[in-house]
Amino acid sequence: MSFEAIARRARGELRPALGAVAGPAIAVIAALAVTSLILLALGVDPVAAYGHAIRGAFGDTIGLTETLVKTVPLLLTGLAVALAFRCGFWNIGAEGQLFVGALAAVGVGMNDLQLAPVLLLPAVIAAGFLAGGLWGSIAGALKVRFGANEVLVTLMMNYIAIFGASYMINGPWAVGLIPQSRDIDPAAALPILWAGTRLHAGILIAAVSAVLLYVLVFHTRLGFELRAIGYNPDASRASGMPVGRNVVLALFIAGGLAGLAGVGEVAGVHHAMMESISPGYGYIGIVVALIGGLHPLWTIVSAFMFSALFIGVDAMQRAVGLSTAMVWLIQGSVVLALLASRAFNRYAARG
Amino acid sequence: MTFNVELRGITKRFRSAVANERVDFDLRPGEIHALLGENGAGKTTLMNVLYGLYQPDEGTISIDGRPVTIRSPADAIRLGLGMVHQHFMLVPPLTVVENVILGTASARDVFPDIAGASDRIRRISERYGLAVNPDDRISELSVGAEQRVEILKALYRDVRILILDEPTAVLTPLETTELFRVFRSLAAAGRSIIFITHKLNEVMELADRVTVMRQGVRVVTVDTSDTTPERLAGLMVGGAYAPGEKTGPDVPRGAGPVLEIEDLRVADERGTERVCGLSLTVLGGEIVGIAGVEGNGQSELGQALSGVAAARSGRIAVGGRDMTRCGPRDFVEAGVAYISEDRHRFGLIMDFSVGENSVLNRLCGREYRYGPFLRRKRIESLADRLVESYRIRLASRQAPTRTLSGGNQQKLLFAREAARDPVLYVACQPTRGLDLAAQEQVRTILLDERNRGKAILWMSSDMDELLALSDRIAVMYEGRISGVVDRGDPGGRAKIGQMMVGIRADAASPR
Repeated sequence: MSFEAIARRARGELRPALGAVAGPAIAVIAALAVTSLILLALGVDPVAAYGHAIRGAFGDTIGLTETLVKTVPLLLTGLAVALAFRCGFWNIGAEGQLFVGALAAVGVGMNDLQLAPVLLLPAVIAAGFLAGGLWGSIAGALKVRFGANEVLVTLMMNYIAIFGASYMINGPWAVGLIPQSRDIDPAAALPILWAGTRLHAGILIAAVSAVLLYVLVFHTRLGFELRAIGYNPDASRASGMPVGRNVVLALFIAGGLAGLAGVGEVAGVHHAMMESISPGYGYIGIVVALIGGLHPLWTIVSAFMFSALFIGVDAMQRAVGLSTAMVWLIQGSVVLALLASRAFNRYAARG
Repeated sequence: MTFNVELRGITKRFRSAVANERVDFDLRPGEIHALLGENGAGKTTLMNVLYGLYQPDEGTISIDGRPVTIRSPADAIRLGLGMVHQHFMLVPPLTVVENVILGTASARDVFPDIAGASDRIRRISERYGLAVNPDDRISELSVGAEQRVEILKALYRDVRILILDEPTAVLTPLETTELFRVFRSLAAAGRSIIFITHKLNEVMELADRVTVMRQGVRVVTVDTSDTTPERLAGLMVGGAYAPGEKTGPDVPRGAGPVLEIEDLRVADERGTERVCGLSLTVLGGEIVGIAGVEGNGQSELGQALSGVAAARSGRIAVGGRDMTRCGPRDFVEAGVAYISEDRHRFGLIMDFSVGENSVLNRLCGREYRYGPFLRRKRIESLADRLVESYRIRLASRQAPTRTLSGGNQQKLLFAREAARDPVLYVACQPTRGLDLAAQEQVRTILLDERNRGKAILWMSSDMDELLALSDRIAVMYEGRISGVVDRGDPGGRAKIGQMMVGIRADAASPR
């Protein structure tokens, strides 16, 4: 074998592996380099600033557990998006599915039905999953039955869910003048895993969901069919797969996962319904899923990294006194660089 | 004499596939020249080379006797060439005049002379009978009118040589007549026209000369007055491959009908009826070939026989069971193996591994799963078996199927279907686009399956292939069977040629 042939082969074999690790790493470094320049221009020492960020996200118990707390909704919405994208459905609706799930969780969690305390938490979780799932499968059914554009449908349904929630906490569920529901029954709350922190059992639900979803996507017939449909719906249909039924089912599961994100926020963090229950987790979930390569296990890593980014930059903001705009700028640069590195990888693989 | 256009020895390769091989072509001034051939014969590639969209790997181009290099369509337009593509390149919200002057105005013309341009368009359209109002919006025009705008665009740029890619494919018969009138008036005014087609009657009606292409090679260039549609049809479809006689034993006596089609009607995706009352029976252990110029309903027939397209009316029965209203899953389970001519769309999932593709339609059964879970090991060992027994060449078992060559993809498709032990194959153009060795393997597979008693419906545009391997050949024309020729009929080839252009052969006995 000539030297060129060996070099070509090595390039061919190494490129995917190298690209998978090196690409995102280089992207993050590049983004941080660019933001360093901006920090320097503002008179802030970038090394000290990033030090605050890293300590803030991982440095102490509070930082690490806060990062894990924020990982819960990012992971669950990321999984919701990843599953739907896998079968060719552009689910922009995780945000709405989260809100519907949260509403159902609060509705059951206030325990007007007088459920036994042992049953209450399972009922809250089931209600959140079901509500999110039904919300998702409406969008799935509209696409399958009428060919409705799923991006528009899921986006619009987000507004219905968010303003529906707003109506509930300003109207029927309002407590006095605060737009917030009554607290849920203590028996409906997710247990705290680490006393003195906010780390709740939602992280276990999210992690188990990711593993189960991995098994579903890669080791079951349904997952096989969903991936087939995502790549090529015509061949899937010609091979005898029930394409429409599967898409609706996938959206039920995806919506359910986003609904669980709502359950986590209600039963784990806020213990009531409020407007600020999600600062756009459903939308960040899209990026989480894409950076995770739509793979459930990589999505765990991606969700944790994103959570650390948010918590770290928040800590940095407090420590060195940056404006909120600066925070968004840093976060935005990192996300953009990561997405660009993925696009570049795909391009390089093709060319 | 000087030719308007002279192509000498044009060769164009795409990766390893040769789209044009040493093609010569010439065009006389004021001539209407048809470029005839099946899909994939290399007609459009040749014209794209002439128009500067592709660079030839070998060969020379001369315009009006001068050798030229055409690097882009802009070069081609400067040399007086114009091309009307199969898919129009118009901006729907703009008016006719705006579309026509698009790209002609230089950067200095901030305010183009719309009124002057409209006048000129009116003069051109009157002169050549191109009824178009310059102020109409493209979005409001019919397809025929859009095409006239495309021609106007070329004439406005003072094009002397007009190339049209399948201009009648989208037109109604009336619009076609109109278009031909325009062609004649253009030719009378000394402009020359090349039109790409696979319709024989258009060639005979309109062209002065015709160049026939097959598999990337020019077969012949003749005056239309010196030829007949039957001869052209023969040149278009046959010749390159001459397989030996290798059919197995005759159809076993008493073999029952596996596929019965009665008065079937099927529409395409746009709702146009493409199969119009077709009846046919295929017995076990028999290859029935379907000959015919492409676009006469063959793909729709294949789709209906796999449940992908729904039948409008009529009856389809497989093994005596009525399947007219059945979907793809029922056809898969009834043992119908569908080999689509579009294997990328209907047959395989290009992003899946070979293993995943080999069970694509087998997960309804219990063999490759435990309840909802996949039996990965069994799937992999099935894939190993297929790869080995069909000699499928691949770089790695994990690599996506798109990394296989076309021939190996097709073998994978056949291997998967044969492993299911089907009763009926519906094979649409199964050898198209494959190299000769892979074609041979595909033919051998189908022949072996026939000898095992399977019923095979084999649609092909390669007449030699059908003549060598079929027990019977049915000819499809405009959605119907125009006649059936039995194996060994000495005048078979001539009869098929006639039936392909719509002449019903009385000697043939449709079953």
